[in-house]
Amino acid sequence: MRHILILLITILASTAHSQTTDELVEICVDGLDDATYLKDFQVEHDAAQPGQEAPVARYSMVLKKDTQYRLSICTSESTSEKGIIQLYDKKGLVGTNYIEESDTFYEFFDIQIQSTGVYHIFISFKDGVSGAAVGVLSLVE
Amino acid sequence: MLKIGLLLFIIPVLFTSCQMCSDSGPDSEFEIPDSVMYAETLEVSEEVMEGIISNVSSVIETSSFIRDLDVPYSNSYLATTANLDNYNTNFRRALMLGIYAADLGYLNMYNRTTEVLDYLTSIRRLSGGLNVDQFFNFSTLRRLANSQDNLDSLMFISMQSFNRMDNYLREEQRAHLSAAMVAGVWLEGLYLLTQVAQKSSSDELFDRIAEQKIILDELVIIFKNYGNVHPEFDELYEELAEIKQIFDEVSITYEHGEPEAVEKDGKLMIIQKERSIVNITEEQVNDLTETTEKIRNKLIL
Repeated sequence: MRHILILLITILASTAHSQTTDELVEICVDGLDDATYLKDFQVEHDAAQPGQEAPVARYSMVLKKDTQYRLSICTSESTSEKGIIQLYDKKGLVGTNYIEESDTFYEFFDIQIQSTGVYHIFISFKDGVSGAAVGVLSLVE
Repeated sequence: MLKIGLLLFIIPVLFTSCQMCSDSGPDSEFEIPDSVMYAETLEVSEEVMEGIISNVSSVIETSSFIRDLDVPYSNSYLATTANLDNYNTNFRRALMLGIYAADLGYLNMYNRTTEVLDYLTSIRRLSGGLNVDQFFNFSTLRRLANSQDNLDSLMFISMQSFNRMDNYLREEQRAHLSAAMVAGVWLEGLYLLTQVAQKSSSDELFDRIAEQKIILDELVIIFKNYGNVHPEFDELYEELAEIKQIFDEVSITYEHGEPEAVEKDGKLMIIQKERSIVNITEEQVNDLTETTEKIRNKLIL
């Protein structure tokens, strides 16, 4: 009986998590305005251990020249710090929603791509806190 | 009382789980799971492969690009849905799912809701054959397709369904099927672009065709690797090598520059300063059109 209870709690916990990230996708997509949804990235991080780098989720996408994309991030209410979404190419950082110098977060950033190729989307949380977030890649018409 | 409560909870959970593993394809009843059949090691890690192939969403970009060229809709570009019974292996089903995903994107962009229903039906059968139809809420998709007011929702839900199916395949160690689907998306995208180029050529369109070289270079690495354990990828690799041969003569150079960030009305805009410059001739586009058409038409038979 104890095992069944543990199994049920696990199932319920995982269902609850999936509903939360689904809700975050809807919130993010509702805020897209003039952009068309392409893909979402659902992320859940544990807190970084002392002295270690903040956990980062990485995804690769082919982005195309002469196309304007939007990278948005929606962080769950239970996460203490905001999510950071960054775009890298093979040479380094191309764009981010977080400006470290002024400690400013944006809900999204738009990028006009001028070079077709494989790009990498990184999602993390400021100060490496634990939490959940959803990144959305969309096409700006 | 607690036991009865638990049973009442467990029964629907088990029922739902069984729906997830039901066989909806006509000849999939006794198939061995791909993850069991092909447990050998690939030369390139799954992680790297997953990263490269996560690109089903390009159907929207290609269709949106074609629509913005003001090229009229033509159903002659679309793959037939009459040969579904011929797609009787998981590889072919996944490849055709990619081809139909690209066509669905094209139909959505031109608001062709009647045809959308036909493609949704075919997608349902193919995804059922792969046991991944649980990611498509077909009744909702049909309802949206029947209502002209909900085209944005139709596009969002169909793309999200494809993305979820793609994620699931990779999580379940069936990433090769995800790769086959991406191959279908890419090939049909190139087919649509080259067909449109025969009716309405422009520098912009030629550039977009030429840039497919970059994506194909990534894809052939994947196909070559999967060919070690999935012979069907070898066959596809041989076919695509013919297209690659033409692309090898297309030149792409890069002008380097640092990205610039501009804030306007509280919104952040990044302008990439690096530029890719492509050089493709009309003759090369014609060669690509002919070769792509030949390969794609053979695959959809």
